[in-house]
Amino acid sequence: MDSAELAERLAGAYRRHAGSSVRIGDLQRLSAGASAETWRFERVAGAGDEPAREPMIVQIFTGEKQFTAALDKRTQGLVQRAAHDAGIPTPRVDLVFDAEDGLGEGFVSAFVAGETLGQRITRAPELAAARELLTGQCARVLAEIHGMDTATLPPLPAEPPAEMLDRLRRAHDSFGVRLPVFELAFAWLQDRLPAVPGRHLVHGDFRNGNFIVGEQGLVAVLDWEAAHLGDPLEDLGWMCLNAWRFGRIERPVGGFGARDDLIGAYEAATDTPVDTRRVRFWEVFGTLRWGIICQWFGNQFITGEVPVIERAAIGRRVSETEIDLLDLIEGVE
Amino acid sequence: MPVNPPDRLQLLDAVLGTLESDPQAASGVAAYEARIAISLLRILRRELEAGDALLAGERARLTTLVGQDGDASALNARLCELIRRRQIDIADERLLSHLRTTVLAKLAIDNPRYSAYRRATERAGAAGG
Repeated sequence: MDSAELAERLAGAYRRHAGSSVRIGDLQRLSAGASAETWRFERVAGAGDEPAREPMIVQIFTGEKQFTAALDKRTQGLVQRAAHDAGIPTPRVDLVFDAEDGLGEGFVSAFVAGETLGQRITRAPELAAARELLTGQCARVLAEIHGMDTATLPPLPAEPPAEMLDRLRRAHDSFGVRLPVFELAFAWLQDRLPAVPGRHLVHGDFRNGNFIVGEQGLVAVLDWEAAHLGDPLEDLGWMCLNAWRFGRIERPVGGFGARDDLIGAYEAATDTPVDTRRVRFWEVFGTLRWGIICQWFGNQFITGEVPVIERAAIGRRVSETEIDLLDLIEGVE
Repeated sequence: MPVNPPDRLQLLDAVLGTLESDPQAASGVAAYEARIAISLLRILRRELEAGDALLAGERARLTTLVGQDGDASALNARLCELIRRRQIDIADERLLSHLRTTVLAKLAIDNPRYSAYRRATERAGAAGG
């Protein structure tokens, strides 16, 4: 779809869903993520010399296969909308496309300014004050996400931990590369499968790199495509992966915070004690999952499915997750 | 008869020197991919230097650990089976020590700048010194 056609269909979707007449200005394609095409445009509403202009983002599914049960773009948009309506800081969703829009699966959300690059969030001098605030803010936002009324959500995957682990096992086995460290992690996790208390909304990919940060700290949570129902502590474990610390290994929370501060703030926000062994379970699970995603990317290069150099390079990042797994399992801090 | 010099490491150095000499030569996606290409050549260079020693060390440790002889990948597959079937204790010190040594040797090739690699090698250096 070229940009003129996209603009016309977007204007049509606004008429159909919102009953509003808007013009689509300054439509530009941004550097795309793996599974979606992302465009930016200005929503221009009202007539006269000074119409209201608001920068917007549109994400459209492009058909690339995703690793493990990622949500379709429509469901992702509905989850983000429900989260925004519940008061969680995430960009407002204007439109979630349906078949009549002729735009495929996708949604339109408000553009929010700020920093998303983990490398800068962990180091930029102008974000020093933000880094002091971020850990507590992340804990409180996670508590709000986990406390959302699940009746406001579209149907979401709700696998128990044993099934999640089985799914990782099958993915790993499908690559035909045997890694003793991954076997060790599978066995370690199998011995510690947690009982999950109820079914809470889990963001699924809450980490440095997937939120927008300003000088006041956390501005907006992005990337709801791994949302599911399950153990809220999964988000706390995932947040601490070494892969999202951007070299600041001594600061487990996103490369800017301490684990105890995250857990303390989360306990204060939920008024419930946190079982830190379960957080550790999910940190190991998440590291294994990230390692298997790296294998999967590398395998896409090897099979020729996605013949780009970046995929080849990611294959060689598997060893990073192996040392992280050993450090976690052996309790090296 | 061996190939004539420059040897393979020297050839790689020549390629790297050319690619790294003009970082402004490419822009956008091309620059991004060129940076990845350089980092992959660096991996290859480190692997050419250290890969054989890694395999030999891994194979020697595996032979003791699983009590069989064979090449490193066959022994690795055997170790995976032992762990999966719980025929080796996953808290076994010899097992963990072998895995750590092997993974650090792989990272010395794949990414010696990785934070966890640096932490492990700095601590080992401090303990040894």
